[in-house]
Amino acid sequence: MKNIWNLTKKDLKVILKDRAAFTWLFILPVVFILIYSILAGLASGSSSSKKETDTRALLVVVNLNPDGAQTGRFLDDLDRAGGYRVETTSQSDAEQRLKLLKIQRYLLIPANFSDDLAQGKPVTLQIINHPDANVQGTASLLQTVNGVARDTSLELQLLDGIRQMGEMQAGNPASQEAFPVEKTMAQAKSQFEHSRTTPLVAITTRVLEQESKQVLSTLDLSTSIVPGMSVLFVFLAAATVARGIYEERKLGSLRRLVSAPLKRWELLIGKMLPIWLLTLVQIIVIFLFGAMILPLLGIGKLGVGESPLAWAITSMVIALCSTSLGIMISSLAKTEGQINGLSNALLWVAGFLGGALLPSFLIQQIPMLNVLSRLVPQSWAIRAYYDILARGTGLVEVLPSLGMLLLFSAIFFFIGLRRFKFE
Amino acid sequence: MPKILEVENLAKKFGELPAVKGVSFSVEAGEIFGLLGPNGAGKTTTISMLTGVLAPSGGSARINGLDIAKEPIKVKHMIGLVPQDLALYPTLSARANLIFFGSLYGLEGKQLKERVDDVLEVVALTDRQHDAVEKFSGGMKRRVNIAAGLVHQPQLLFLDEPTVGVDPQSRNHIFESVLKLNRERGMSIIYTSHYMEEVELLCNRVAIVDQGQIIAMDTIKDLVGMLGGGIIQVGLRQVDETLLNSLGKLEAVKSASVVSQPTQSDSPQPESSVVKIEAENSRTAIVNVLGYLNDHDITITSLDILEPNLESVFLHLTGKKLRE
Repeated sequence: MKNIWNLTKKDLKVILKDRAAFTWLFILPVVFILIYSILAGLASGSSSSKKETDTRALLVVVNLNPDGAQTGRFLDDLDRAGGYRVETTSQSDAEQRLKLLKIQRYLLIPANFSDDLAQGKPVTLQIINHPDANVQGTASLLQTVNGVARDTSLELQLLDGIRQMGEMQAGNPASQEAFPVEKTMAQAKSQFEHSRTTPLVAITTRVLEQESKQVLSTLDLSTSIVPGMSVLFVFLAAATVARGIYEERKLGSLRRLVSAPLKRWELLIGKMLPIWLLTLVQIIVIFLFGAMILPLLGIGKLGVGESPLAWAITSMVIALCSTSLGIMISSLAKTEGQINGLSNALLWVAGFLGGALLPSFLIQQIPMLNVLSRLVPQSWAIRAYYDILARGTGLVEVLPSLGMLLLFSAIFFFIGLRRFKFE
Repeated sequence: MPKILEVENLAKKFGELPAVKGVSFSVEAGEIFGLLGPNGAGKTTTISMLTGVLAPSGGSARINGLDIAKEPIKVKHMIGLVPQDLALYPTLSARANLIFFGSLYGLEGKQLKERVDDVLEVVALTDRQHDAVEKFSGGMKRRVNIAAGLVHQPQLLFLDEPTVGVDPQSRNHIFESVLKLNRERGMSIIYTSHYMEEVELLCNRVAIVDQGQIIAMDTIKDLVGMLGGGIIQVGLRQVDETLLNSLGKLEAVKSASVVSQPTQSDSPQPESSVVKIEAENSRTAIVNVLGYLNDHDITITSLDILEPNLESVFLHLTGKKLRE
C-alpha cells in the first residue's frame, strides 16, 4: 500500500504543476455544462412553440375525467405545448402496453380533476412508469406537464381572484373606489405568486405496481444535464490515466519503476489512484456548480436527491470504472495517437450511447442503440445518478447499477493487467 | 572474491528475432564489469533482463545467490538501475525526484532525507537540489539520473550508457563518481557503453558483445594482449601465398593473412585485397613491411595501423568498428 501511495503522491505533484491538466479537469466540464445548459434551455423554449408535424413523442393519457370541463382544455394545451402527441386510452390498455414495455410511461388524470379545480382544490396528476423507464424521459415529460399545469393553475387562480373582486364590488357598489387599478394589480400579482408557490395542479410519479410514490417536486434542466455531463467528463479521465502511463513510458521512467521492488498491480493501481482522487474532486466541483451557480444563471437548481451516501458511493464507483478503463486503454494503445483515437472512440461514442450527450429516451427509441447503450458503463452511471438525484432513491436501489459498474471495472482492470506491456 | 552476479545462458527473443543468444558471465563483488559493444548488440536487453524489466526467454541469473525470476522483489532491493533514458520527472525538483525513487525502496523519514543528501553530494548537485530538473543542462540531468539509481544504496549498480549526450566536463564528473562509488563504498558496477575509452578507464573486466553474443571476455590487459604488438592492414593489388609467407617472415611480424573483405570504410579500390599483419612490435614491423613492398615494387593502395586497444580488439574479432 505504501508503494501505491508513494506513486500517487508523485503523480499528484506532477499534475498540480500542469496547468493544462487543471483546465481539462475542472474548467472545461464547467464551461461545457454551462454552454450545453444554455443551448438546451433555448431549445426547450423554442420547442414549446407550436409544432404541427407529428414527429413528436407519443404520450399516452388515461383520462378518468373525460367529461370534465378543465380536462379537455388541459389535454389540448398539453398537445399544443409541443414535444408530445397526446393519445387517450383506457387504464387497462395503458397498463397492458406499459407491462409489455410498448410504452415507458403514461399520464393519469384523476376523475375529480375538473370538479376539484373548479372549487379551487389542488389535484394531483400521476406519471406511471415502467420499472425500466428512462428517467430522463420522465424528467422531460414532467417538465412539459409541469409547464402546462402551471399555466392552468395560474389562469384559474387569477380568474378566481378577479371573480372574487367582481363579486365584492357587485355586492357593494358604494365601494367602487375601494378597488382602484393599483389594488387590482396587487391582487393579480398576489394570485400569480400564490399559483407559483402553491400550484393547484401537482404531479407525482410512481413505478407501476409500486405502492410508494416517489415525488419529483422539481426536476430542473440542470438535473437532467449535469449528471450526464459529469459522467461524460469523469470517463474522459480514462484518457488521462492512459496518457499518464504513456508519458512514463516515453520518459523512460516506467523502466525504472518496473526495476523497483513494486508488484505490477501496485504500479497500475498507483497510476489509477491519483486520477481517481482528482476525478472525485472534479465530480464535486461539477455538482457544486450545478447546485449553486446554474440557479444564479436561471438554468435551474440541480436536484440533490435524498441520499448523499448513495451519491458519494456512486461517484466513487464511476471514477473507479473510468480509471480502470484508462488502464485498459493504455494496455491496448502503443502510441499517443492510438491512445487519443481509442479514447475518443470509447469515451465519446460510449458517452453518446450512454445518454451523456443526448437524453437516453431518444436513443432508446432505436432498438439497436437501446441494446448497445446497455453495453457501455456510461449508461449505468447516468442511470444511477438519475435514480439518486431525480427519483430520490437510496443506495439499495442503485446497487444493480453499481454492480454493473464494478463488473465493468473488474473487466477493464483485468484486461489491462493481462495485456499491459511493462517492458 | 564472492560472486555478486552469475549469469547462465541468458537469452531473449522478440517474436522470432533473437536479441540475446545465451550469454554467460559472472561479476565479482566490488568489481566494475564492462559490457562493450555497438548499438543493437544486446547490452541493454541483457541489463533489462537482469533488472527485472524484461522476462528472459531462456537461461537464468542469480544476484547474491537469489534467482532473479523466483525472488524478483528481494533481488530488486539489492540492485540499482541507471537507464539510458533520462528517467526523471522534469517538472519536479531534483530532490523531489530522489525522494520519490528512494521511497519506492522503503526508505522514509530521516533515513530517506540522509540518503538523498548523500547522493546529491556524490553527484555534486546539492546547491541545485530544489530546481526543477527541466531547468538543468544535459550533463546535470544525467547526474540526477545516476543519483536516482543510487539513493537506496544498491549492492550492484547497472549503468546503461550513462554518458550518452553528455559534455566532456560532466562526463569526467560521472567517471569520478563511478570510481568513487566503487573504491570508497565497494559498490559493484556493471557498465555498458559503446565508448571504448570509458570502458578502458573504468572497468576491471570487459565482455565484448556483438549480435547478442559475448565474443570475448577478460581483463582489458589480456584482451588487448590478443593483438600482440598491434595490427597492420595493407591494401595490395596482387596477393599470393609467396608474398604472404615472405611478409610473415619479416622481423617483428607474427603472421600475415588475407582478410576476405576490406575492413575500413576508407578502404582500397575494389580490386585490392587487404592483408592483415599481426605484429610483435608495430613500429619495427611497419618499417620492415613497407621496405619489403617497396623493394619488390608492389603498389600499396591503403595502409592502416591498429594500435593495441579495445577498439582494435573489436575490429580484429568482428571485422567492424564499434561505432559502425
